[in-house]
Amino acid sequence: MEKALRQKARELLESGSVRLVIGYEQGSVPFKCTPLFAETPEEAERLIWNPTCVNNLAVYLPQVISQGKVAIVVKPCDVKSVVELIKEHKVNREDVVTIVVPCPGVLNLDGLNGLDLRDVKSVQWGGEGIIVECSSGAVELARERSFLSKCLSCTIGKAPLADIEIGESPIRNPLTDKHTCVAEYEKLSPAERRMFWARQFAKCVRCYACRQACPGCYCNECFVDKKGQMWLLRATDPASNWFFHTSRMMHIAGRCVGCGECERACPMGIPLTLLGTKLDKEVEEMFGGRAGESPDAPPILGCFEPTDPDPCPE
Amino acid sequence: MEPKVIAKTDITQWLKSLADRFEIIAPVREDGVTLFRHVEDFADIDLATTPATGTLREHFTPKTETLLEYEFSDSGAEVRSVDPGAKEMLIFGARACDAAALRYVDAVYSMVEPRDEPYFIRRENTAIVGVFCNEPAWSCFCTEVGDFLSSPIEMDLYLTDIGDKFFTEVFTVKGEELVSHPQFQQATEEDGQAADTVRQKALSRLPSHVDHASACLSYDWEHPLWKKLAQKCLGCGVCAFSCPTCHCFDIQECPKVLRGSRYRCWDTCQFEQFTLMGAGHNPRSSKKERTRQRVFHKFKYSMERYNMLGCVGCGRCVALCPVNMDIRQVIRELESKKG
Amino acid sequence: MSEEQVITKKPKGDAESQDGWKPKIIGFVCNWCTYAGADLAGSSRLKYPPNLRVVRVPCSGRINPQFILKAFQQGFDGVLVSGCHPGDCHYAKGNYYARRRIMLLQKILEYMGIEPERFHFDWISAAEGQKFAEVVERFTEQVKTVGPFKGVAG
Repeated sequence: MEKALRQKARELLESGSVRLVIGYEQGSVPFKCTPLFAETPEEAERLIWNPTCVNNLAVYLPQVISQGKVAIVVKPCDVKSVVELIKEHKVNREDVVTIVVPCPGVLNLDGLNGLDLRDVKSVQWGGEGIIVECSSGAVELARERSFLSKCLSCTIGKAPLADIEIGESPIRNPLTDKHTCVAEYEKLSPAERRMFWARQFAKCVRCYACRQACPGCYCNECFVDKKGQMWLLRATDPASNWFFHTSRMMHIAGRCVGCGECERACPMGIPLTLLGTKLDKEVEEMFGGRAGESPDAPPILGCFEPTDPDPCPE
Repeated sequence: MEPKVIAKTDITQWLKSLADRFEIIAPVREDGVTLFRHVEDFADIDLATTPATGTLREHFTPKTETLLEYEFSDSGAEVRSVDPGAKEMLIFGARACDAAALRYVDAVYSMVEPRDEPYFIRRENTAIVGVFCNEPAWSCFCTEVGDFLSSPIEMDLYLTDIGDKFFTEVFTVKGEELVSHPQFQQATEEDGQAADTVRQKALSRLPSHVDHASACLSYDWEHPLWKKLAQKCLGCGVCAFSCPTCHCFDIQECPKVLRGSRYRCWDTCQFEQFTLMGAGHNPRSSKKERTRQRVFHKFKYSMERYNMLGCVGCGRCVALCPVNMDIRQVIRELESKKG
Repeated sequence: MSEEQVITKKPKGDAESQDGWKPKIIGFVCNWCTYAGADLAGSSRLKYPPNLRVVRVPCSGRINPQFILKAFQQGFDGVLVSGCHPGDCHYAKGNYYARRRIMLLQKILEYMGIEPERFHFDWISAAEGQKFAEVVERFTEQVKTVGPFKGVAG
């Protein structure tokens, strides 16, 4: 798989049809990858495709696209971010080549708890989940332990925008429904919900990692940085933090593809995917659309139907 | 003072006896992260996570701190300074890196007169009980930048887990007061040897010292690495906000016409607006400049200004960076082009 | 001091007691329909509770969901949003966009733990002075049933 990926990337660069391939390469440790910006065929030889490739690389597209055509290695879920960027005219369809890789699921680092991470030599797909090669031998992890929760509920068959497909996508067999976490949370009463977020947002340091990691957050000037109309203080009191996160939620409503990078980036363990997942559920139930499915679909909150839900249905 | 020992089962009793005098701060695990919090139930303390996800910074320079409040009324304007609070704190479970970082931040906050008074009031009213790292994390590299894991600084007591008890070294007068409780006994020679064994085992899993202090003085401003790093850096600020030596802050107003306040909050050179000036000029407008700034500040500028490295090797930035920017790799590459 | 504390902190000399709580309600209303309807309620001398502070916008489509979020963050006990009936928008389509946005916001508010009684979304036309007074009356009573808003976080 990696050989085929590297070859395709080399071909694209050698022929000059793209000036850059964004993909994954080996990180500083065997259980992490790091983004690779390959500009030459030699650099493309460093591309990898293994369970450590968790990042959604679409976040880099807005900043690199102005300099020419770009190829991007994407998992079927990440492609949805590319679809949204095209839909919003942030990226021209002709300027991006999507290289879709077949993804059985990517590594949940918590699944390695109990192993001495210094002894890990490699992380590969195998069995039902992931096989971790350690200096003391191979450890096979069960599926629930191996993969991120978004992978365990994945139902993506064909990626919506695949210029090049390296291999075939595996048959999906979701273990859970993707909206289960929302249903669980909604068992809380209003007061309990406020307390829940009070506790979570008390931890928030306003590093904006969630915003920086999100492919949907590409504004040149974010509302939090506006000084002329000051939407909120830089103070980290839970109410100001609440305002930041709820506003950001309304800004990505209908545009959030559920990649989970916000939660993965958060250094404080705030369960931000609870917000995006709720949005996804409501947008589908209320308006029949889902973010990232087709670049020709209209932006969900940028259009309307006469039959939309109404506050006073007559 | 000679070293002592305390049984693990006695820790709770000891902390309870100190809770009248001190506000006890210790690492607590919740939602998959370990943060230093005010604890009342000592059973919640997490000494396994090495190091804690969060740092001690919050307790010396809170992420938001009101500096003053004001109010206008018919009788004029009233301005009130906010008392930083002089309640004594006892930090239980700090790591050697956490404590060593405080020495650096002390230097920064006292560099010019007047020194940062709220910070120092808290510093002087705090006792620090450190714990040795029996199981350093994969991201730890404190031994590469210093020897404080074995010879800690800025601590009153240093506890080493030797099984069912903690081997306790006492460094200060405050520390002597803390161990003057019945839970502490004289350490035996066996206890000392057990501590040595634990120490050696941990050190064998950590990298050897590298003379970054000298090497960093000639880091290359134009190194091709900066462009590569800037490409993948998200500019997310996680590295700075999880760093025990980071200390930059912003001062902002919260004005509501007739009353308001002035506060300070954590800031980071990784934000684009950090160096943005009133007239619109931004000397570090590109990600490349900001990424380079971070490394230069932690190493070269810190050495030049304070004669100590600004990095204590805690590895939090390494573990938490969403795109695996690894400072160890960066400085290795910067130093490899020499000679 | 957080923003919320600065705003809700009582100025010196205000002796309002706990039992004398009067709800603070803010309404974002469109100029051409609801605001005109409110004006009609006024000129018809219709009675309705005085707790509503009205913010006039050119069209309900101008309403940024953040206005409502800000109102709750600052401690308002209730928020009202109203515009022209679908199909009657002065700018043809503005209220259709608002409808999608605000209906979704309503779900999010409830998700975050803000009691549904604190938010009301309606269509009130320029001729519906009576309806305006009734809506404000009913909504104010509704907000009273859930008491003072204790804040978005906690």
